[in-house]
Amino acid sequence: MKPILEVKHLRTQFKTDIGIVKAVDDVSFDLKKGEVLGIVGESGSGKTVMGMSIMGLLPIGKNVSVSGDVIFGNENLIEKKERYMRDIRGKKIAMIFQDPMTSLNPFLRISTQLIEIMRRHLDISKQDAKDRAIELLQLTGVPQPKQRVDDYPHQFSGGMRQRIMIAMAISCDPSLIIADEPTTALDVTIQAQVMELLHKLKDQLDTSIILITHDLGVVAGFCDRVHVMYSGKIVEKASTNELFEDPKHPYTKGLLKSIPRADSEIKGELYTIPGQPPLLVSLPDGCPFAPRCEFVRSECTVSYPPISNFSHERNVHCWLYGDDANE
Amino acid sequence: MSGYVIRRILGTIPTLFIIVTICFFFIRLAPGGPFDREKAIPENILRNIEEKYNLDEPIVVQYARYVYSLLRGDLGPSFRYADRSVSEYLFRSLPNSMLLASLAMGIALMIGISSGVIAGYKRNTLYDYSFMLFAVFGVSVPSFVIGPLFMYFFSLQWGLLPTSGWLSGRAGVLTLVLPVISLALYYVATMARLSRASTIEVLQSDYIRTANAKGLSPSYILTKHVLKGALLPIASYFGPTFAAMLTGSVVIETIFRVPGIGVFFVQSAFNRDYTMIMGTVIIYSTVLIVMNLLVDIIYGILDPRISYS
Repeated sequence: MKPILEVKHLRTQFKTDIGIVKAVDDVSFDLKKGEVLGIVGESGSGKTVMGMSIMGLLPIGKNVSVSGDVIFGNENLIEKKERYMRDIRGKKIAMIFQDPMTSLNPFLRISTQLIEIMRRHLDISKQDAKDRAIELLQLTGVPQPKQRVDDYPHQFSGGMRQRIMIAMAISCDPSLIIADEPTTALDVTIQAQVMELLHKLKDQLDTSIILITHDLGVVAGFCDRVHVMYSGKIVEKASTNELFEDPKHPYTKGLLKSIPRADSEIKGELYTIPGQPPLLVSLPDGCPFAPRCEFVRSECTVSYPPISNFSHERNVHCWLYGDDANE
Repeated sequence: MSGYVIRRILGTIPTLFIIVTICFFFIRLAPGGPFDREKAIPENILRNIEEKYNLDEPIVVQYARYVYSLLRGDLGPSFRYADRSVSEYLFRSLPNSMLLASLAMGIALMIGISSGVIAGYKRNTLYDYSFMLFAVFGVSVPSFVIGPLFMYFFSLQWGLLPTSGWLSGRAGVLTLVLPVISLALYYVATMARLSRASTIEVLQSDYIRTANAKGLSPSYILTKHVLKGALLPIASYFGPTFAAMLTGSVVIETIFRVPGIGVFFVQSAFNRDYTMIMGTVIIYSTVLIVMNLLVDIIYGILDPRISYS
């Protein structure tokens, strides 16, 4: 089956005073219909910029450049004009942001913010849009939607606001939702509820989801496949099961080891990956993880490791597997 | 809301009373008095004058007498101008200053905000640079330079507008043009700079990113999502500024011979004209208090997170 989204050699670079920041560096992946893909990585690994690049939300100009291909429904979005992208955004591809406290306009009623996106993309009357807004709030589990639809964002809790953001995202029936850390700003019990909601809606609406997160726990229960990002590159691709059972890249291993586990026998300090993620300016020639890697070899600092394929959609960029995997 | 407004208005009474009290005693601490002249006035004449204005009584009695007359709406006689009372002077000139200020503020709001918001939106473009250059000019060139320059070119050189003569003669309304524009220029510039900065700030907020992710058009985002937030800092600047403008702009009023209230603020202090000083202080305080209330009401309208009850 043809994937609904194909990203090929996506590069996003920012020109800054201290040099060129390669926030997204040659990223390729694809996404099937109805699939949930997790993009995992720590802060500054380029996950958010990647999502923004796909959406065409970056102010492309003399300091920001995006190249590569983003094939979405037979069209390459990278080549499209802003006017075309405005018709895609919110309608075909919707985005859910990290911080629901600041992502809704504090000056406008919830109803206004829900109605405007439907009026923009769908041929719908104001009254019908409002009725649908109430239905959407009902669907996303906002209590008393009829009474509360005209309230302002500050009258809702963080979890409720994220439900409103989700209602907004699904309002025009998008075929792809990019959820950028949708639960990071929420406390743990609310996180679970919001993920459960996304799960339920995904099945009901048959949309594909790219879930950008740094939380492997969120990935485990939700994603079909996972890509691990490090300093702007995808270093490992795997199905969720494979990733948790048999992580290949030392970075992925480190990430998994640093999750606190309720059933763990081991007491004492939680594992952490030593060092800091590199600055995305003037990256070294070799593997960017090499300075923090416990399995580091001589070739690691010389050149970036080539791809090692283990099976279809299962590969890793690491010198440890350079020789044996491709045999 | 209306309950809140009434409470705030009632609250101004004690505030004004405190201002009156402090001011009454403070101005008497300043050296010199209303009847000091270069040549000393003979002792007996001075005593007669002081007796006429009750200045020979103990200060507490003078204060009580002043508050009593104030309660009946009388600001007392001027110590300097014997022919009219303070109220007559002030309330005759205040409307002229207010007309001048309101027209200038209207221009400042319309041109300043719209050009500032557009400059912020079109940040780092030719429009932005050229308008901000003009704004720097407007902020830094003082009105006592602008006024005479305008007068020189528009009146003397080109004969388009009258130099002065507030609303009088055949020129009529045309006499307003030069003083209003000269006064407005500075405020157009400041408003533009303020609204440019606040627009840029709002444009960087998360909720504008959301609006963009919804595929909304730039003009819709600007008017519906950006404007309200961008206007908040303008509202707080507007209050005290407009209060100061309403109570007279000495320089502009002097240059264009506008019969406004501004001159009394300056002259009364030089003259130690105690009652006139008190009158100007009371008027300025009242206007300032009203403006601050207005700002709070505007805030309540703009920002739903603020509610008064």
